[in-house]
Amino acid sequence: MINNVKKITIDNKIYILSLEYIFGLFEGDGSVTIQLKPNISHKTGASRTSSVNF
Amino acid sequence: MLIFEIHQHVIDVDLLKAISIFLDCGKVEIGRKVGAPDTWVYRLRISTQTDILNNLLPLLQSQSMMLNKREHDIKLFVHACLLVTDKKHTTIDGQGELANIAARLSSKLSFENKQKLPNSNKSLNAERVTGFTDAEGHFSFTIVPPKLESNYTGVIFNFTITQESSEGAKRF
Repeated sequence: MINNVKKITIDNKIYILSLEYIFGLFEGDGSVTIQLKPNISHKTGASRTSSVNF
Repeated sequence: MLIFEIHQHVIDVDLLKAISIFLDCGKVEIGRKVGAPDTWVYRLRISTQTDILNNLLPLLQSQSMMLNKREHDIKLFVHACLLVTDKKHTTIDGQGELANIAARLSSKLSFENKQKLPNSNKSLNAERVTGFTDAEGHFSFTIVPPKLESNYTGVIFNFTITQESSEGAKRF
């Protein structure tokens, strides 16, 4: 399991992150998607099945 | 495909990169490329099966959400992840179950049905509220000119978080 708090530096900017903070940000600016898409075999789209592609 | 995303304006793209490092998964990419580059929206996108099932799923199973709609969505998402873990998405029944789950996400619910979602019992803490505030908070101040017979200029500070009313009133 991930440590509770980590200090991460990106481009000289220091971020002190925790799971609680990340999921707080997610609650406001995040989304989840369950995408059921048919298999499409390239641009022509000639071959299409009904199976779910994961 | 199962997708978990967090969006931010380009000015905070490094925050998304830091989160990707923290979670040890996902990639940061352009989410909405409209207008000048300094107005683009970036996203941290976690979508590979390995990242979702090995990295994200254990975290989601250990977390609860403070917003009712998010709690509802995460439960459905975790359910979908577990179906994929069990390879049920390769069966007709499993695909039907996934379609049913996808149709119940909060974005597909009417306002009335969102209001009926059970209340989250997530205990709030400073870090969760800070993250939520970074996403949804708004700070402003107004300078009020001096009134007649007064030399004092007033300043009114405002801090607001706005949510749709189906979330009800939450005490931060």
